[in-house]
Amino acid sequence: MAGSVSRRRFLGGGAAAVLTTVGGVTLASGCSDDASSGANAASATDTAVKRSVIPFEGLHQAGIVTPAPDHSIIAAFTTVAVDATQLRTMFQTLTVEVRDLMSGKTVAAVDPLLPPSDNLLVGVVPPADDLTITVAVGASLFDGRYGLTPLTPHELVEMPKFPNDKPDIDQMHGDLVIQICAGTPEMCNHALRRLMRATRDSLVVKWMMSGFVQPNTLGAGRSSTRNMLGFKDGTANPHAGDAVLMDDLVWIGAGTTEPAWTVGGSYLAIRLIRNRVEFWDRTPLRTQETIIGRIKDSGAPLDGVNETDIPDFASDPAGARMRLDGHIRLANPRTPATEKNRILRRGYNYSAGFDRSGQLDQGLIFVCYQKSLNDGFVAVQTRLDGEALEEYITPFGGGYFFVLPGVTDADGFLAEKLFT
Amino acid sequence: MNRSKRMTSVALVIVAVSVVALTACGSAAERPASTPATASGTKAAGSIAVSMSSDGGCMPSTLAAAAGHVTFSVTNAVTDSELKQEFELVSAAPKIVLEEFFTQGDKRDVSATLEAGTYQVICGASSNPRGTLTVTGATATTGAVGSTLKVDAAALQANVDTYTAYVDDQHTQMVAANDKLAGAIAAGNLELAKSLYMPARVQWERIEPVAELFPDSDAVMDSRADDFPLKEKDPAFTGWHRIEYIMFAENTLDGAETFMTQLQKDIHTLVTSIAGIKIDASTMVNGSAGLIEEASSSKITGEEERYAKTDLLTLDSNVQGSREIVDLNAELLKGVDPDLYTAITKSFDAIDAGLSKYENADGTYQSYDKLTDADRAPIQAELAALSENLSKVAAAFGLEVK
Repeated sequence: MAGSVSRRRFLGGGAAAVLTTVGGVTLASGCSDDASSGANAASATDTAVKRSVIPFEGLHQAGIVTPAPDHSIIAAFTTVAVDATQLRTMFQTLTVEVRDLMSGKTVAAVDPLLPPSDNLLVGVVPPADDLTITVAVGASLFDGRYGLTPLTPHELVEMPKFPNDKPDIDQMHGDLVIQICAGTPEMCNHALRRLMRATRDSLVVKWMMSGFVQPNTLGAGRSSTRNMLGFKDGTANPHAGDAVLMDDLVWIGAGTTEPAWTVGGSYLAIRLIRNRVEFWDRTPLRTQETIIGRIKDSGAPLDGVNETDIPDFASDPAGARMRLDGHIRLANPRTPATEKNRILRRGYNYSAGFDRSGQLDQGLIFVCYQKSLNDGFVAVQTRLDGEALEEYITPFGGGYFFVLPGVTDADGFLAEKLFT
Repeated sequence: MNRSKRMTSVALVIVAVSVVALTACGSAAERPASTPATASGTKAAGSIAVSMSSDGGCMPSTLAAAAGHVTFSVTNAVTDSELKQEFELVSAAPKIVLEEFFTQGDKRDVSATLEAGTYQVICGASSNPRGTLTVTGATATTGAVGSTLKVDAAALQANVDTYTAYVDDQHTQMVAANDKLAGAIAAGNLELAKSLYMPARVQWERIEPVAELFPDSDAVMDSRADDFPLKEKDPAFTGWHRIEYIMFAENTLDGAETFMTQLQKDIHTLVTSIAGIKIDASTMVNGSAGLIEEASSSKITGEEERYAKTDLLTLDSNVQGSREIVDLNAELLKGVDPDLYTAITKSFDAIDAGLSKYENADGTYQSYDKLTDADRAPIQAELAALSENLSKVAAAFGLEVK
């Protein structure tokens, strides 16, 4: 919660309004009369966290190599647009909203006899809050309703059931998925409501999950956090700030056999993974550590001292120090042959109440990006089949999606090339 | 149905190799001495050549390898059958660690990362004589790095033996109870069949942690409709709960007999598989905790016996199976942690008392849907408290949880 506190303090700046420059315009953020910021007023002892306006335009959409802020909402939708024309209009409308939201556009005043144009969850002048909105499409969008079948990304299929999955069909797949990330839950919900309001005639929500995550523990560009099992997660993630590496692992480039429109996009795998936290909490520490392959406190691999130490599996072929079905060993065996299987993870923790047996429904919104689903997530998940951790986790939702390429000019819109 | 790949094998039989029983004791001396390897079977590096012959079985039948990444160069040299032949390695656990199919004349390399131990090698049909693979080298983690047994090893082993006999006895009862159920179904007596449904389930629920060592059996015998895309209508939805659905939800015996016949076969496979299995001390001790985890995560909700509403008896069976293990080990536990033993016993008594409120005079239980949330809450709390305490027993014994 430390991260949340500092951000709340930012929002609740109240009397000392924080000034942030956005596109040359100085905006006052932290509206003291805003109900949410008032409620969030906290002690002013911690350091202010600098948050930004993330640019919308670019070769790639934001929200992938962008450092992950503390909060997220992932929402999947069914498109009910009756034809390609209405679908195209939906993407245009959606793009207008995404642009306005990410840029922090001041809310326009309307006739008070009308409903307000904005929910005002973050005030008339939205603060810079690291907001990103990332739009991806599922295999079902290419099913023939809109004549898009020939444009299907080659590896985009409906996510299959893996052996340990307990699929809940109400929490899986979707024609479209939107990932909203920001520094506060208010900003995420603000964006979600605006996006849904603008597209009500074309998008029907299918499933949704809110997530949160601690600030990373490895510094800029890295993404190690703690998951709901209490272990460091993301330590071995490829460096998202390394553009060359990202071209290698994440982005569809030119000159592949993929449809031309996909250049600049990426495959997205989302897995909603429940953790059996009560059972986990009463599992011996050493058992937990050998199941994961890391020291719980430090995050170091079992044969190392520091979190960033590279485990030496090669010198432990029989699993004497690091069991053969341990999580990090199977996920990333650290061999030259498995380098191409590296994926950019950008997951969030979730806490969604409890089930009918009174056990907490907590876990991971696993999110990863890769240029090839088969080389990336599918290869990793296949290796993880039968891992020792399976007893404690239940993947139940999510899906495969394709992140649309970025929008590079002011007149452009998301998915534009699907309609030309 | 989780492991469809493994379930497609024509005749999947798992036979345990009798090796280490007490992992925590590191009783390497109890292992059978490595059999001298044949010339083609011994290779520190490179691949181990194995041929499946028309005579049945592996050529050579005795193999040896160093722990780590082991590659087998397998040839299907069977000339009298065009069927695909299976090459399979089964660990002492027992667990299938490698399973590959070869068409006639096919020759290719397959590999697996193997810990030290003895493995069974199946070439062709599972009824063929099995080969033995002995893997030596660095000891596996599964013993206990740095853990010392805190109870008398011989006494613990005696309890393991008694528990193994209990498991065997439950199997015998399981077969008999399911034969009775099958008889009632075959005779078309729906009411009798309904009354025999739960009696045919209780043995499984008492020994679930051991039975679940055989995930293929678990999948075909005890899956719930939610595990399948088409739910109750899914043809792959088999086992007790399919029969339960037909009898209690559809209120008929139409279609039940096919599933019952299949279930009897699956029970037979399970019993054959488990027969002779060496349960280790850690599996036994953690089995008592596992049963309560199971009860408190998925039985308390009423999702297990959702058509028959007999969840109280299922719950009771889990608790009985768990208590059996604690009672067996009572003297050992009292010796190392008397307070823990007292706390656990009190929890068991409280759960028994809680359940008995809903017990009918004839030993059956009230329908689970009659219980309110307020009725369930105390049972839920006691189960959770018991789980917390049972999770400390292995450590009290100095056993490592795998």
